[in-house]
Amino acid sequence: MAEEVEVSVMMSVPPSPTGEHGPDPIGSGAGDAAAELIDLLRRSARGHEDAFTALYDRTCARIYGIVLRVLRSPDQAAEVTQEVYVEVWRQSARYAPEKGGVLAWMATMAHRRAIDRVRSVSSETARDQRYALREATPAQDNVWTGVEQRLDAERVHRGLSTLTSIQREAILLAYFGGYTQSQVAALLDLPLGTVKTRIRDGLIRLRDALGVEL
Amino acid sequence: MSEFHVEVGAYALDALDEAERGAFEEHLAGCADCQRELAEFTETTARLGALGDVAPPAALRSSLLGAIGEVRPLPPLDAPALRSEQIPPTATPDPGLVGPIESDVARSAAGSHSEDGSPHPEAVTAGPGEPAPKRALEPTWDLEPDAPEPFAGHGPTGSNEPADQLAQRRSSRAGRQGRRARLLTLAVAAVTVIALAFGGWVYVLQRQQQVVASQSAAANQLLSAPDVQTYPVTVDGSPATFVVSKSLDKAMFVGANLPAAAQGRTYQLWTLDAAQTPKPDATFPGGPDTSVFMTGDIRDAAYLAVSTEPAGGSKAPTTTPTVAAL
Repeated sequence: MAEEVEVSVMMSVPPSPTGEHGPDPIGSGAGDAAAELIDLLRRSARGHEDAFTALYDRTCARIYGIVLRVLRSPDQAAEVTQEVYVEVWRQSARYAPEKGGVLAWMATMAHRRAIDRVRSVSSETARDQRYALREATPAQDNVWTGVEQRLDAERVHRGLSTLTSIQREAILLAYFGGYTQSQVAALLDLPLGTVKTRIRDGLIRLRDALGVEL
Repeated sequence: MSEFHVEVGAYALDALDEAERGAFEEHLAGCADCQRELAEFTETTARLGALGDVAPPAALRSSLLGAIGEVRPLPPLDAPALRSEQIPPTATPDPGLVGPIESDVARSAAGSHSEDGSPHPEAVTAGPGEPAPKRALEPTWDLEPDAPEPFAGHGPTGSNEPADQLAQRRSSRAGRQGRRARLLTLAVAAVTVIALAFGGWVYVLQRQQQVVASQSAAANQLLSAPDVQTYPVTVDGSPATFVVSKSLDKAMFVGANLPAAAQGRTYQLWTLDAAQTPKPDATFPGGPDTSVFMTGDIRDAAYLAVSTEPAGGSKAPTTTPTVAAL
């Protein structure tokens, strides 16, 4: 090709602006995990699929875990989880950090969708299935061995242990069982009003035990 | 305390049936206490998820990443300003009267981040079998009659984010009349470019379908620009072409029969301003069927250039660049 020459217009050029979303922050300090998720979501909002991929990798076990626990069927759980993430992608620009963490935002969305699936008319059969079908494959739990996650689970277990057994059972039946408060009342053989109160009191206790602050 | 207030717990757990949910949300909209408590509860219930982390099947990842390629992220709710300057005044409804109102209501109603999450009607509307009040919550889209359908998941329109933005920009500038002229331009430009340098394009498509699919979408975008121009150059004895649209701020370098760069060397593209100051741009290995999008500022570039450089590229050309004057 062309011969080597001195170019008259030698000058130092600042790095191009493409460095803006430079190296993926995967592997940075765990203390910044929440801020990191916010950053990944922000970049997703600008259409960066790599950031969204990283967000998925960071959160999928939690989100899929929630959905699977509610739906029981791995196939349905995968379907709903995909819906959730597509929605996260769509809504990424509308997440407001001052209103809570990214993971909570996503978990809320995932749980609502799983519940909607459980309660939808078409899921009369699904409802039967979810008890007939295999339990969540526990072997896969081992894939998710992050220390953070272990600690999270530990904290939640401890938090739940501060609740009365009725509070705890009502909350878990509602959250993971996907039952309405009326169904929970029937299952626990308690008046609906009592269940309402137990659930709220239990959540207040759990909130305090987990040190949730906004 | 209202009779509803006690239901905030069940609401946070999604344990209200449909009727109860609706009634509670009505109450929630006007109850600051419930909004605050709901925000805390939502954060609390989300932590329950920690009890059941399960890695999803690996297939989900690829399936999802394929799916989002066809879905356009929605614009932020609070940024109508940038938008309004791009549209003719007649089409500009008072931003204070449109959309954000309902969104704000929904937000204050939901209190916490839950507006983005479950309790917000919009967040759950995409579910199967649900009615779609999405429109009402996305009035900003009505400002752009030509804008692509925001829910692009089901059609070819939503190819990808940058393409959509470009499409918006173009459609907001040019009217319907310009569209026909543009199609003509597109046809002419496409033929020109194909004749000049796209000999290997089909071959590439066959060989690297996936990679090229996205690239060709971007290339189509570029080729359909109303002001697309081609600048033929000769690189290492091979014909090559810069395809440029200033309005899109995009340029692509194509060479059907470019020799591969020597060992330890790379091709590098440059943008130069009117003072001929070179700014480093993309590097590429060369070889047949080369097509590379430039990354720099094209709109203000006066020249585009290509040179060979040591592997990794240079900050300024170290060999004589081949230059195209725009």
